[in-house]
Amino acid sequence: MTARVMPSDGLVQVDAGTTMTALLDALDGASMHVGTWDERYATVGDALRAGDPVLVRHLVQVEVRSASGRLSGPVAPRAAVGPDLAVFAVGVENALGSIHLRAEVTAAHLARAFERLEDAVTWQRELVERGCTLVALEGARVHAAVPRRALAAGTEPVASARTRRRVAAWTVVGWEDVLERVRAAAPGVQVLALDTHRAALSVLVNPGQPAPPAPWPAPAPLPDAWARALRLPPLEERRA
Amino acid sequence: MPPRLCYPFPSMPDPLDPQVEAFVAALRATVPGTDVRVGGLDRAAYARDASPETFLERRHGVLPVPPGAVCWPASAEDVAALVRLAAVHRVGLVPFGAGSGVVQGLLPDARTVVMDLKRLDGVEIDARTRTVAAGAGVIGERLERALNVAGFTAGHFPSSIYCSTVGGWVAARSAGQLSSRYGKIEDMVHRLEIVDGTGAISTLERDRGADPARAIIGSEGALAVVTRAWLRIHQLASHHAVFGLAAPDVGTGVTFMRRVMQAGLRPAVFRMYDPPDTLLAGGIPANSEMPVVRVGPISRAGHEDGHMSGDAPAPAHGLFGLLARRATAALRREAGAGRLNPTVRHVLGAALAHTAWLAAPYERLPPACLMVLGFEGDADAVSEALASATAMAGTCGVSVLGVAPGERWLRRRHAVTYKMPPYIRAGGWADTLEVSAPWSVIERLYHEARSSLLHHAVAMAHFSHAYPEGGSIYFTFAGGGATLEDAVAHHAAAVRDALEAFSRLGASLSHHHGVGRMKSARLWDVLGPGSRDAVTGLKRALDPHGVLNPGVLGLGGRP
Repeated sequence: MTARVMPSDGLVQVDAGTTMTALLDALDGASMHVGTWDERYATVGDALRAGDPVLVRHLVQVEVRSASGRLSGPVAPRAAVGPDLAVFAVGVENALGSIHLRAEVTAAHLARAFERLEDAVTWQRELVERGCTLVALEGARVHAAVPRRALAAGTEPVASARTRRRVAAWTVVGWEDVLERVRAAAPGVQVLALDTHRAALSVLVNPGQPAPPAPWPAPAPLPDAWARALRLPPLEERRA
Repeated sequence: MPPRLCYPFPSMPDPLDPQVEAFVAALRATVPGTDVRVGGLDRAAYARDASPETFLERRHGVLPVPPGAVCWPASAEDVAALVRLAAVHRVGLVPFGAGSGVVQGLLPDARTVVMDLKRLDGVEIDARTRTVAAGAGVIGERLERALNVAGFTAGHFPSSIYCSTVGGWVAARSAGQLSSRYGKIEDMVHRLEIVDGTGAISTLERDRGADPARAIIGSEGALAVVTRAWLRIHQLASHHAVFGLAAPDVGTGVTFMRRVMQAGLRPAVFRMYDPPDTLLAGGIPANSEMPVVRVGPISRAGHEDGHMSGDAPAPAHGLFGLLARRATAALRREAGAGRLNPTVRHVLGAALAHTAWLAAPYERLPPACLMVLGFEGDADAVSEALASATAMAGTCGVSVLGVAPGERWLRRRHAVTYKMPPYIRAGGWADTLEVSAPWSVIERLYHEARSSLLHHAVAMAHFSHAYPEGGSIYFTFAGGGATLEDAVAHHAAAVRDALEAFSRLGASLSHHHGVGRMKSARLWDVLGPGSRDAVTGLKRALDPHGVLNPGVLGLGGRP
């Protein structure tokens, strides 16, 4: 399935097999984003199965296929309808169907280079406080997609920063730990704002490039007892 | 002075259920830190939540089936011991916060023990990580005051903040009035401590890959007992601007809300009242001069006194508006005085029994809708957001009214009471339903759900929470019935038809009240054919003996 952007609802509908390239292309065409301009993973399903914090932050609804039939929450913001069934889709190997992600407006792109990493991180946090949801830092250069032009005042407009890089490793840290963790990790770690409290640190590599050793522990899987709740057939059948 | 109504207090069933009796004896012997009581008053006090049926039954002198016992654990370890004992003695355990739920999430029976968590009351603020660890039993107001003293806010302000707990918020997937800026409770939870149905204590971390906390938040006590939550907190804002606007109709207002949210403006509060609710919210001031909205420092005193009086009179909208406003004001006076004049009671009772009479004046109101919009943060951020929002209002055809409607909302936003409301004493009932949907559905949802409710009740709504991808509508509806059975049947029919409209349009069954037992019949249809098996599977994995809040969410199970 290709990505179906619904600009007035601020949503994009995909399925697990939709490539990230197709998703990012569709969003670029509508001047929207889902928190990243790097491909990060081959498909949307791969990103959710890996628990990718950037895509998960934009997850509104996901359909999971179980032995008893499909299950999913409503396509409605922040519904209170019992346990969130996305627990069976995030960071767990299950067969996924239709997926709705929150797509956010890109009114302009801007970039700014800083001498000192701490100044760059401070500005990154300030943009998040002002409502920006795609604010990336690499080295000491911040690149952001802003939802209204007023936020771009005084900066040079730049082009979109689309890349095909994939995630070799990620972790989520509080802003208070970003500086220390970035300095401790390998050079080139990307800091992507998640919200006013958290940032995702990612080691990104170009397709075909060997992944460096991961500086952080691998993501935690869903506990076995929880995963068994779906009573699913073997993994190969689920992924078919 | 008019006579006060009082109701008989029936005696408790005696003796206790034998399994509960054995449980209580074992509890007293092995968990000495946990207080447990089996007296009639304690059990009656914990027999129900604050759902409309509770009030209706009490009004008619019907006492709900009380739990077999009530206990007060003092730690997660106590909770774990209680769970293990419950499994051994085959009694159900109902976690209890403050009892302000409205969907029959708490419905114990004689073989159930209510576990009041208010002794889990620790509050530890970590300024470095900007998180707070709060015990499940901490009342919301107490948490917020503790945070304010340290210069922080949770940003979570449910209207029930004086009578709801952190554990209840997590269990029911609560929303506060400022959720457009700070998110709902599921956005705030950083980490959870739970006790599952085997008595195991676990800490669920988020942002580590798989996210088991997703299944616990909103599970209404069916999968685990939340004993502590680590919530993200925020530095107190220094400045704000809260003001009123007027939309010419619901559709225009919805468009304006959507544009503001999708421009990344993150308002603290954003609400729109439909025409009947606009009247109750104070009406639209007639002042035609261009008002000025200023960004000002936030005063921390005097906003939350809950008084209903002292508001400037709003202009009437013609004769029908005048009648509706007078009736509303009379009811407010009666309710505020804690009594009900017999004449008012009879008139109100008659009107609620014939809701078409009551609805007629409201239906003839002009289509204009009052809106309240507010920003907070530092002065520069608030100024920028205010300028962007007012410019957008102009392009959308929405007028800026000035600060009076915003100040009025701030004064009244926590005016919630446990007292029996006057309409119940008059023989009527009232209820609320809250639903969320994407923007493209929300105007149609408003019209269709309200039409469904109007077959059974007088109904109004406000658009209470806004997000970039949609919003929530909060319906308030009231009706009557000659007898308890009549009233219950009318209420049930109104809820049934509204939920049918929600489902038909693909909206949620609830945005923040939860499902309980009231909406559980529709839950699995909404979540898809595989959902019941999956959640039952989770229940089996986490609560193999079926001791945790049996029957909630339509999950079967008795220990």
